[in-house]
Amino acid sequence: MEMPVKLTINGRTWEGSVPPELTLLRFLRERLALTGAKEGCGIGECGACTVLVDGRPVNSCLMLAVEANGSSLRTIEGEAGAEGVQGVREAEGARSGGELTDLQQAFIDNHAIQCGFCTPGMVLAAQALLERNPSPGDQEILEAIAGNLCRCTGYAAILRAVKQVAEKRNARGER
Amino acid sequence: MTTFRYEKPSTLTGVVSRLSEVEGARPLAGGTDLLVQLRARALRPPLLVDLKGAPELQRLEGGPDGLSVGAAVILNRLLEARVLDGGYRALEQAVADLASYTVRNRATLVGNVTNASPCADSVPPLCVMEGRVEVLGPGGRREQLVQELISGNREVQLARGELVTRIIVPRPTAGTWSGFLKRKRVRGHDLALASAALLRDPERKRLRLSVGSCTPAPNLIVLDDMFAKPDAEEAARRAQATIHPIDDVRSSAEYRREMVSVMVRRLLAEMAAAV
Repeated sequence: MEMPVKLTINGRTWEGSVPPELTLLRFLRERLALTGAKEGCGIGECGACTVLVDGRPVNSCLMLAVEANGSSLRTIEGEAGAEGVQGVREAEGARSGGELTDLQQAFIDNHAIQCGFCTPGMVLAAQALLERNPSPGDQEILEAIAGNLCRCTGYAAILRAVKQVAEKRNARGER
Repeated sequence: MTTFRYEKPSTLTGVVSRLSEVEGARPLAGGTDLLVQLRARALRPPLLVDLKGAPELQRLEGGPDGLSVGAAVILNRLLEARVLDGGYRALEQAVADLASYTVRNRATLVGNVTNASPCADSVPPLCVMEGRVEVLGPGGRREQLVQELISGNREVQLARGELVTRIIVPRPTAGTWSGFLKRKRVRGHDLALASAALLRDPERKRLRLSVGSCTPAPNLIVLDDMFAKPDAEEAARRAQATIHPIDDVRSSAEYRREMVSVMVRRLLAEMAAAV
């Protein structure tokens, strides 16, 4: 029996119904075609599925889509001002556009991406950290991304990228 | 994933009714343990009752009467509210290192207790602090110590339709010190391969120790007799006598035993330096 769901995704409203057992991760990937969030483990240990729900990073593999009813969701597709919602079978072939955020650019500049599988979740976890703590120390950054496993980079480049963004934002007087 | 029905009552009464009306119905709070079990088909409930719509279960209070943590309160909210600052140190340390920041945005304290994994990080601190659960069910309301609620590996003493609505921790007496240590394989997100919580209450002259991840049910070791002159080796010996560690993917039993003794000594040293 499908459950009604109304939520905002990357600033746009989505309304429809979902089976109760559909996870938020599968909902994003299969119903909204937002494939940035990945299934790395399916049990909340790798963080590749990390998205922001009401500003908080969560493992979308551990949430039911129906639990997101009434919430405001952000995925990686929404960060760069891209077309964040393609709807159900609409906007076929629509391309994401827009300028990368400073954090996304810093990941590129610091070689904090290799295979890219962890990257959407990692960027969102880091972005959420900077939104709640604009001047994190190394330990605070590591704690914030401890739920995001990266098999490629060894984390040092990721840490550098996040610190660089924090420093630049603080120098500009931004929060 | 198995299929099930989903309901989100807007009152606590509604939650308790549905849990008792539907056989096999399970409460859903953070879902960080439940969804893993559903995915593995270890559980096949016909109905999930979402607790997050009942305002009573979102209540978080910390004051002169102690600490009250509703079943739907996420761990990060518990930390952000700073209610654990006033003498609940061991619990604060355990919650701050539970899983990952991301998991703590969904996971709950009541969920950690009622899931009753032997590795549950909040259990050793709650045991030394005499933490209790409030249970609501068809038979009415009752309270139970955490170490009596949990009777074994993922076994809780809850009858059909009974729900743990909150965790209550009595306000620690002035001067109480507590500490928690957790041994993991990695510095990040990991279960405890062994843990320990120690509490010293100078007003009631109590010294209490609880070891985690080494017994199927919660473990509480009374060291009151050595309150005046704590003996680390004797405390470690008593801890060893109570534990039954196993070999598993996270650790050998032998290493767990070794780490328990190390943590007991370290906690007593930390306590001595602090008091």
